[in-house]
Amino acid sequence: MSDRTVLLGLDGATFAVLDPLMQEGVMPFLKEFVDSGARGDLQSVIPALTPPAWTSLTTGRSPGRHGIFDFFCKESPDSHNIRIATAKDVHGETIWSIADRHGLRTIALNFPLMFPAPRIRGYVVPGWMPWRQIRLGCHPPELYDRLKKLPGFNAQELAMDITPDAKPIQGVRPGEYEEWVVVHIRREQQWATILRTLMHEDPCELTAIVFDGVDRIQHLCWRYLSPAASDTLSPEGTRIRERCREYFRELDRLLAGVVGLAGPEARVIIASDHGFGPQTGTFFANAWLEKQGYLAWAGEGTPRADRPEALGIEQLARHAYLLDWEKTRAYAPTPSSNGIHIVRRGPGHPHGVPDDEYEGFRQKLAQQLREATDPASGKAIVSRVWTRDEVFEGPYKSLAPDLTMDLADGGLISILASDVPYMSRTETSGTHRRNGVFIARGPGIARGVRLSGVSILDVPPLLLHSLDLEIPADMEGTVPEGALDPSWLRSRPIRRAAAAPIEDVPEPQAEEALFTKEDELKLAQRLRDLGYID
Amino acid sequence: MKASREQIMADVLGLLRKLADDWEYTGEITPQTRFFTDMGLGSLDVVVLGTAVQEHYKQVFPFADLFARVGQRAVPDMPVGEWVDFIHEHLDGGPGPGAAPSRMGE
Repeated sequence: MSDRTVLLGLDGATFAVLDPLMQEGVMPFLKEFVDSGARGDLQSVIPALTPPAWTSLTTGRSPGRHGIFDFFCKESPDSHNIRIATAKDVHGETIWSIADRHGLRTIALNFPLMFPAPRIRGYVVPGWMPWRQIRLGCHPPELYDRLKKLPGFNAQELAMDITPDAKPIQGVRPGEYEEWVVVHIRREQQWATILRTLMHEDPCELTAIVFDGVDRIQHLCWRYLSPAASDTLSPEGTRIRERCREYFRELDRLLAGVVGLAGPEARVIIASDHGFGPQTGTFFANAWLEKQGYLAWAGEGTPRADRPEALGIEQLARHAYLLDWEKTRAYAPTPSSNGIHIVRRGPGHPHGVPDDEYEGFRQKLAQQLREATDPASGKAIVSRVWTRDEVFEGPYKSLAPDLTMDLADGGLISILASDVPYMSRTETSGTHRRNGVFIARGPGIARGVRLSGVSILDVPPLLLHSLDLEIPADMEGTVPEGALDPSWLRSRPIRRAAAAPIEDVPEPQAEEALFTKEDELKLAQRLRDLGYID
Repeated sequence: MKASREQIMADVLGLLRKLADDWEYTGEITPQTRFFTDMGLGSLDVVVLGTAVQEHYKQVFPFADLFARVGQRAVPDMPVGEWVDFIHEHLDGGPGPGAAPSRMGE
């Protein structure tokens, strides 16, 4: 197994946090790993969000070409209804499917959008699954019974549980932080135990895992973890900071164990789906649209923000009932994509924007967003606005938001009603940035190299090249040759498949949604944990 | 060949009982057991179960219609038997190629 390849995903990792931890001795293994390999910032996709970004990293396609823009997807281009995205919504071959096609085997753990699991040679445990259903996601089916026998196995902690997983975005009560970080330490230990067990008992050519506690801890604990914070913390804040460092210390130990088990002949790539930085305020996008006359709520009972951190996660998928569709022409359905959808006139939407007015409407709205300011400070709220034609080129762009925003502080929007369109947060939290991390080490990898301009789309070509496989023509990225030892590159030239004839891709069609019709309101209230969290 | 209601019931009960063992749910699961009130499931659980059913039968089911009906009830819940009836009613054929009829979810 001379081309054994390992992908260690660190969800949301940023050198802004990792570098100080390495320098201060909290992550000694990672420091040694970086020093003896190649590193660089990794540019994520737009939006820099877990589902589209990891899907780009595993397919080599940008969101307009793989069809994933959010944790949720529209039923059809003209529908207001959204549903949870699944593996069935991912378009394009994944690195494990390609490996399987060439007879290679994969261990893939904790990646989003892997349910239903691909029936590949090897092992799959999907991430972002409800804990009661992990068995259904495991491949092969008998794998779950093996997992249950592992020491310390706890499905509820291993899986996504919506209650604790909402906390990174919306906050936890004072006094809960430390225990919450400790849960994530145990959680990563469980994933690492599963990985080491499979690697030991049945090693595969491609091994891949996501450790997602990095993202969750940075969301909630940024103000404790940030290098700038250490001098100003209270005694409790200092304790929380130490717990966070404990998490990273343990993560370092787990990474060392996995890399050691893979052996010196393995090429190891560490990558994140996006980076991280501070979020200082909240933009209530639907409240702003209401004030501009683009949106109207259906009536009393509209959920309102009671604090700046309230993004409206509990209200996901309820916009279909909460908005007045005779008066609404633009709306933000989820707090997880920073996207605004325009209501187009058509069957079922007689009050939408007519086709011949659409472009003018979209441009005007985009310009107004660019000019939106925080009334208190006078500063711009939105730093960039893209039309979907600008950033989502590909056969699935019609499923994307009409407009996608970058907020000035890099944060996520709220979808709740609010008296004011923008609130400063009482405490700084963490949120996504586009620059993540790329680190590689192993035979054929250059030592001590710093790279620039590496895209998340370049990672799957590198993984396939490491496995000595041809790179499909439809992968948008290229092998980052600067990361490779020139002599190794000469001995193993990059093989790229010839471009295949472009096939017609049918327009996405409506599928049945599970929780979308107006009559479901009562059930939706019962089912308020629908969904997500990053 | 289209699966019979009895086959579907056996598949669904088998699946739920197997999963319930993982949850350490100690109650009996019968056609009368309700998803939310009795088993304590959440919406995402039901989404995943529905996806597993669709994967097994290689067919999209109009679950939205079922939930719309359920949502109008004073207690928005449904027993397993009603779900099975719905699957049977909308089933075009048998399980997809390679799916063992008695091993839903695998």
